[in-house]
This record gives sequence, C-alpha cells and structure tokens, in this order.
Amino acid sequence: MEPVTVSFAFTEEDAVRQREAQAALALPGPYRFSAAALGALFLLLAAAVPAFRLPYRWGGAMAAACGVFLLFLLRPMLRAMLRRGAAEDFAAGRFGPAAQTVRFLPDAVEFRDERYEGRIPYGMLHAAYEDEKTLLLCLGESECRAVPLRAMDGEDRRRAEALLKDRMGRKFLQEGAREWTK
Amino acid sequence: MAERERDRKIEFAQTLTERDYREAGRAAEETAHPSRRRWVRVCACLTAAGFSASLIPASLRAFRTALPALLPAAALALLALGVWAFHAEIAGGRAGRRFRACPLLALPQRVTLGRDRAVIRSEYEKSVRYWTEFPLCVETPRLFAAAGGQWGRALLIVRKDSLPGGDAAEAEKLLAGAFGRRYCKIGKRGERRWNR
Repeated sequence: MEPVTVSFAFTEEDAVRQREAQAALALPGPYRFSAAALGALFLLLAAAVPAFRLPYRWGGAMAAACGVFLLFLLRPMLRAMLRRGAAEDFAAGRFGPAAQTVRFLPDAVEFRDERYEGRIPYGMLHAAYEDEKTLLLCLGESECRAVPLRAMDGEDRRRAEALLKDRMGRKFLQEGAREWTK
Repeated sequence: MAERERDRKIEFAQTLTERDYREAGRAAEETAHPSRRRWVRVCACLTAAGFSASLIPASLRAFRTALPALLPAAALALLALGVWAFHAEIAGGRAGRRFRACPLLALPQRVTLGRDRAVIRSEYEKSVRYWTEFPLCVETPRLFAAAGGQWGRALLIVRKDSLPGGDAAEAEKLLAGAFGRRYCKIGKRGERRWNR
C-alpha cells in the first residue's frame, strides 16, 4: 500500500484550529451537553418564579443570569479566549517549526521537521481526532501534532482515515461520529 | 582549545520511570509557582483556621454557641493536615498522568547534552531541544529537569545516576551556564525531601 504523504507550512489559522480540536478532545460532547442542560435548568427555575408567583425574586434573577451565561455565553467566550491564546502562542513560536511532513505508513505514522523525526507505530499513539478542518495526532496527553486537512486531497484523506480507523480503532475519534452531542 | 572545551558534549543512555517524571514535574511546578509548595499551602490553611478560631468569642456573643466559628476552624486545620500528608502524592499527579498516557516516554533513550541543545534519540524518534525553549531548569538530588517547554514535551529529564562518573558535575556546570539565572538547585535536605 502506498503511504500517504502530507507536507505543509503551519499557519496561525492552523494553530487556532489545532487548539480548538485539542479543546474538543479534552472536553468531549457529554460535558458540553451537560453545561447546556444545566443552563436550561437554570432558565426553567428562573421562569418558575413568576409563573408560580414564588417570593424568590433575587434568586430567580440570579438563576436567569446563570442560565443565559451557561447556555449562550460560555462556549463563545471560551472559544474567543482559546483563539486569542493560540494566536499569541503562534506569534511567540510555540507551535514549533512551520514546515512539516507527515507520512501515513501501513504500520506507523512518520513525522519530520527540522527538529523532530519520528516513526511512531499506530499502537503507541495516545489518540487521533478529526474534525472538518484538522486531523490531530496525539503522542501523549498534551502533546499533539495537527495536520491541516486542506493540505490533503479527497483521496489522500480517505486513505489516511481508513488507516487510522483500522489501526487505532476506538482511539480514533471523528467529530461527525458523535454529531448528536455537539 | 578553549572552544573545544566549551563545545564538549555529554552522551549517556537512560530509561525514565513514572517516579522520575512525578519528581521532575513536582520540582518544576513548585519552583515556577512558589505558592504551590507544601509549607505555603499548609501555612495558608493554618492562618485561615487561626482567623476562624479568633471569631469564637464573637460567635459566642452573637449566637450563644461557638460552632459557627469552631467548625470552619476545625475543617481548615484538618485540611492543613491533609495537605501536609498527601501533598507529595497530589503535586506530581499531573506529570505522572502524562507519563502513563505516553508510552514513548518509558522507552530507553540516548541523550547528548551540548552547550546550546540536547539531542534525544529513542527507538522511534529523534528530537533536538534547544535550552532557550525552556524557561526553567531545576536540579534535585536525583535529576535535572528542564521544564516549561511549550512545543513538544514540556519536561526534559536527565537522571544523575545515568551519567557516567564525574559527568554529573560536568552536566551541572553545562546546564547552569546555559540557563543562567533560570537555573535552580533545590532539595538541600537531600533524598528525604524529594524522593518520596
């Protein structure tokens, strides 16, 4: 089987996408869903105060504020902070060398840049994650390498996905695979 | 001749364990953030307990019982005891978790320390880490740990017992020179403090 080779220069937008994917991997759908469900519960409690003519006006107002924050503000706020942090880290050179090559071989994935060379068997990868823009390959809990999907054509992407699915099994997560939790 | 001496490299082989990683993680964390040291946290808890206890007379006057002030004081004193007893377990926990999550860290590696960089080779990878990448280097009685690397691995650990005879002093000189004021030697009381 021919290896899939991807060469790319890492940009600020890629850095932001990598951080977003890392955050999604670290905070899976059920947690995000729980925050939204808690927000909805707070809003229901706030609505119950005038509906049942309860005397807890200040409590109702606090519950409404918490509900709006959890349901509508928390995720955009976290995303904005994450984007800003990633852009600053990219400007400070904390995403490593720009030019990188990643090869998906039948038994291992190969990374190459000016300061790192690795040929890591699929079984030794901690996790792999894919959303619509980025493929994340994690060597450890906080050590991830991102492959921008715009650097791969449709055929290469299908072959790389097939390899990861086959070799990594449940350690390969695709955002579309749990669409209902988003 | 002087240039050759300056460019001398130290080569050795080592295999890291979870204990090394936990110790290095804890040493780096407590050096970078002094407020996370055990005695600082214990003192904070005891201060809060003392403050709460000082409110006992006021509590007696207001509520005719000492419980509202006594209970938080007792809880904070217990917390101080817990922090004193379990701090070593908790503080290195994050680094230990990272070690367990990455099987590559436990592989035997061959390290070359140079004046400006370290080259680490293992069965599956080779990486070059410049000292300027790390904001801090900590020396404990058992190891050196360059910490805080933002790209790749956050910790670069050199075990002293892996260095051939005499090279520990050489490595100390090299790292102290490379890191300058960012180099920190801790654990003056020796093995007892850092190796639990």
